[in-house]
Amino acid sequence: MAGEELTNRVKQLRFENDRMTQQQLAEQVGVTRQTIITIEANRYSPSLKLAFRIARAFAVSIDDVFQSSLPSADPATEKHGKNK
Amino acid sequence: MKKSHEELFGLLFGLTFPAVMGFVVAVSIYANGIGAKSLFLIAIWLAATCFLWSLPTILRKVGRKKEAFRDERDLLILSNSAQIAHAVTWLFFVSACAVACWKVGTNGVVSVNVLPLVLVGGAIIFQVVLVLSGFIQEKTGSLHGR
Repeated sequence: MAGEELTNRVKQLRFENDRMTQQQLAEQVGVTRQTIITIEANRYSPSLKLAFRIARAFAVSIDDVFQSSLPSADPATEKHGKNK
Repeated sequence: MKKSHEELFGLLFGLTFPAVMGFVVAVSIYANGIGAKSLFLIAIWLAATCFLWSLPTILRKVGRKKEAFRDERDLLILSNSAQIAHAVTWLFFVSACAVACWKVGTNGVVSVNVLPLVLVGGAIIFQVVLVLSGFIQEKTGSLHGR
């Protein structure tokens, strides 16, 4: 969709998890280090499967890793998101 | 060997080998016509190119490296490159037909040797565009919204 921006906190989460290296994360989720680099640089949007694997590697929910600039369809969720 | 060196080596080898060997095959077909020798050369060229493509996988299997070396992003790049290569190859075939008509006219004749030459030329162009567009996407491409 035009104007939609996907951002992520992969780099931040790596540092919060004992300064995990890109290679360690790549091995844990079964991709190449190059893919982790492009995800962190917002040059590649991973598949849902990979997004779940990354979230699981950090033991957080997928929302905590990936964020979209699109407004939520559900006003309650939107409010919850803002309060967070 | 560093990964960047591996990539550069792969690009140079992946581009030059199919192109040079394919050119030799094409010239041989044009000079000698299609025959057992030409078919043998085409078979060797195809086998060598396929082997070249599978070489990284074989080396990883032999080395028993644990890390992934092809993932969903690589497959996406390959799929995009294949689409671009298909488009360019078809453009080449259409241009070859147009050039033939333009050169000899609608009632003219074209040597039979030109046909396999065009076919092999198309295969070479496919290979070269596939490798080149893959490399460009790998280095600069943005793969959002897929």
